[in-house]
Amino acid sequence: MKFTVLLLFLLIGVAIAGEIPPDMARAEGGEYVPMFGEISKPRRVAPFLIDRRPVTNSEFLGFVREHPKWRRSNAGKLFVDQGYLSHWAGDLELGETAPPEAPVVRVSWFAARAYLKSQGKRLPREDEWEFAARADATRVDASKDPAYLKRILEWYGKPTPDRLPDVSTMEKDIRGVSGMHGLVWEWVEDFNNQMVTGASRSDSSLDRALFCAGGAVNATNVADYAAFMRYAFRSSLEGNYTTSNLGFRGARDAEPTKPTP
Amino acid sequence: MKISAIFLSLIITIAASAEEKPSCCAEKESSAEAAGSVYQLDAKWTSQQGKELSLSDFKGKPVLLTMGYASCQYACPRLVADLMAIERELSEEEREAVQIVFVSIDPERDTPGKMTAFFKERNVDQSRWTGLVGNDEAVLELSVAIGTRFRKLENNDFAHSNMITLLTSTGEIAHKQEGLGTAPAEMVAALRKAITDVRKSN
Repeated sequence: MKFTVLLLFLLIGVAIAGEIPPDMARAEGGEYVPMFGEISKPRRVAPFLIDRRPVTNSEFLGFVREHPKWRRSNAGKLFVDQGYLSHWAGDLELGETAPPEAPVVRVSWFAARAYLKSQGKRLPREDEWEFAARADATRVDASKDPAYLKRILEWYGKPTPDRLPDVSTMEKDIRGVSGMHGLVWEWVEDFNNQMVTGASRSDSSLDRALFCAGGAVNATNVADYAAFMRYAFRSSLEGNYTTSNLGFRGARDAEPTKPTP
Repeated sequence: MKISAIFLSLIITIAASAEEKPSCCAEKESSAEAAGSVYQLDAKWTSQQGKELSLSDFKGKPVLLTMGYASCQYACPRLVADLMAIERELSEEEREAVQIVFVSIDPERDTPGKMTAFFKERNVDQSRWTGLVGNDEAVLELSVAIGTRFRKLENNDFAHSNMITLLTSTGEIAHKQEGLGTAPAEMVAALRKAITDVRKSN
C-alpha cells in the first residue's frame, strides 16, 4: 500500500515536472549556424519537444470529424487552395491513395496549425526543424558528413509515390524521431521568413528592391545543398498552398534543463 | 397516453430544432465573411489612438495595407511615401472612400504612441490612416494571409517584403504593388474599381 502511494506521488511529480509525452522527443537545443541567414552568426535554439513522426491521415481525419470548418468542402480559400485533401475519397473518407498510417499531405499551413492547436501543440519553428533534422541514427549532428548529405539529396531527387508509405516504416534518428527526411517535406511555423524571390530563387542574393533588409541575409553554407533546397522550397510557399509531398508534425516549448552543479 | 404524447412532441421539437441548425454546420455558419476574406482572421489589434480593433472593423471601404515597423530606417519611410503617392492620384471624394492601414511587424517596440509619432513625422492624414499593433501571432497570420515575408534580425531590425496590398470592401485581396517607388497607375486603377464596386453594391 505504502509502495503504491509512493509510486503514485512519484508519477504525479514526473508529470508536473514536464514529462515528455510518448509521441514526442526532446531536443536539448543549442547553437547552430543555419544554412541561410545572417552571415556567420550562430543562432540559439531553446530546448523543444518535437513529434516522433509526421501527422497521419487517420489522425487528421479525426480532427476534421470534430472540426467541420476544416473539412475539404467547407474550408475557405483564404486558408486552403483547391488541392486541399484532394487525394482523400471524400470529406470524411480516406480511400485508396490516403492510407490511414501514411503522413497526411495536401494540407495548408493554416490547416496544419489548426490541427496542432487542437492538440495543444504548434508547428516547429524553422530553426527547430533544421536543428532536429541534422541528426541521423547515431549522431545529433551529422550535417558535416558528406555521406549523410548525399543520402538526403538522393531522396530529394526521387519522385513522390502516389501512395505514401506508413510513417512506422521510416528510420528513427538518435532521438527516436522518424520521417524528417525521405518521406515528405514539412511545414514550419515561420516558413515566410525567406526574402528570396521567385525570380532569383536559384541564387542566394537578396533583391533589395523587393525586400527591405536592415542587415545582410545570405547563404552561409552553400555546401549544404539539401538545406538550401528546403529553404528554397519554403520560400515558394504561401499559407493556403497544398502539395502532394508536404505534410507536418507538431512541436512544443520544453522546460530548460536545470544547470548541473 | 397524454404523457406519451407530450413526450413524443417534445422529442419531435428537439429533433426539428436540431435539424434547423445541425451541429456539423454551426462552425461554418458562424463565419459570415467571404471565403477569401482576410477579415476571417479574428485577432485583436490596437490602433495608434489606443483603440482595440479587429480587421473586420475595416469592412465597408477598400483598404490599402502595408506591413513594416516604425523604427525602420530603410524601406518603410519609402513605403509610406508610396502610399501617399497613391493617395495623391485620387480625387478628394475617392480619398474619402479609402482607408490606409500600416501594420507593425515589431510588436515589441511599436507602441500606439510610437505609431502616432511615426505618422506625424511623415505628415500623414491620421483621419484616414490607421497604424495597427498586435501580438506575434496576429502579425504572423496576417503576413501569411497576404503573402508578406518578414524575418527578425539579430540587431532587432527586420527584413520584410516591400508590398502594398489592396483589400476590397469585403477584405479580399484585389491587387498587390511590390517594390519601392513603383509607378502607382495599376494600383490606382484597381483601387478605383474597388471604390466603384462599393458604390454599385450600395
